[in-house]
Amino acid sequence: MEKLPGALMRFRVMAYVTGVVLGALTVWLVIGYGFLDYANTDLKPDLYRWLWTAHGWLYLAYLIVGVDLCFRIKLSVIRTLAVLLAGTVPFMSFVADYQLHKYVRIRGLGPSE
Amino acid sequence: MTPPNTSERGSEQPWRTALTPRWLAALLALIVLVAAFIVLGRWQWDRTQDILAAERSAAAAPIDLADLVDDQGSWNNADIGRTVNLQGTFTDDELLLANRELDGQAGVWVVSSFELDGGKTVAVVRGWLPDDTSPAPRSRESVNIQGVLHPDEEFYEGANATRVVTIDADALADAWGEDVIDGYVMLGGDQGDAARGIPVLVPPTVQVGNVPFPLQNFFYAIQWWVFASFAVVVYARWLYLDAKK
Repeated sequence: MEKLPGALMRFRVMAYVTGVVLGALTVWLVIGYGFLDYANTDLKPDLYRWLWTAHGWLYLAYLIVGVDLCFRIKLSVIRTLAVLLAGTVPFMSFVADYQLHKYVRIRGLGPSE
Repeated sequence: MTPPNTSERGSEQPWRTALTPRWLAALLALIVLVAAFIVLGRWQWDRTQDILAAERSAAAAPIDLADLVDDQGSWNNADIGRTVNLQGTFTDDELLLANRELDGQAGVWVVSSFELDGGKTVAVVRGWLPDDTSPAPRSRESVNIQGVLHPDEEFYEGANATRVVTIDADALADAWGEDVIDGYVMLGGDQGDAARGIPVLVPPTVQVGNVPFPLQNFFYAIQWWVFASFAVVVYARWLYLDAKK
């Protein structure tokens, strides 16, 4: 597993980038629709729409590096699906990143942390 | 990918693994997932088309000029070329703009001041007449006319210094002594009759611009379809790994 550190790092970067964007969008959504009445007004900025589109592509990159990492460490199908879905749940991609590093460390698959 | 090791057992053939109950169940799940993603992509694709169609029909529909103009007599460039309705009356003010050809024939443009109900004034190009023809008087009753909205003509700086030769809201305002809405309306409707002094309609020189493309929905459609193909790749890779075991 000579290329594992690279795969771990790529996944960590995408987990944090998609996690931060999705987290920010979630907070924004709650504030926008809960307090600023986005549903019935024109207050919704273009940036908000474009961040959602950007999150779609970021999530695709997250899927690719996530599947790559899961294949490398031969994670089970169920766990792999959990890692991939974590990218769609706010703040769960950080948990997935932590769990994957722990998994790699406990099994001695490669250097971590 | 490593080449298959021929010394291993026959289950390394991926298709044979694919026919095991576990992988048949996985295949069923894959088909459901891919079908759902394709349908979701179609939904966003249809939304893209619907939004485009709605924007195009909105841009093509006639609208009251008064609804487009702000308090300063300005309007949005996106409305260039729109068909506008005008409710109001022609006033006494009229200009003949020289050096206007129609079908290669020299002549003038008849530009009238039109007072909208509500008080604003706009320049209406009634049409073209050959030189040496006086325009017939226009209706003095309150009328509802339709035309195409054009921006001010900007040929060159100071064109209207000595007399008005191009349509420019500031020059017309000076000539007519009152504020004039930016641009002008090229009158549509009946064709006119030059012999009787009724100006011949001039075809609009502008048309409605492209409506903004709903890129976001388009991207969502693409993303769903990429996810669908991604699911197939992941299935195939898992199957291959399992078959190698």
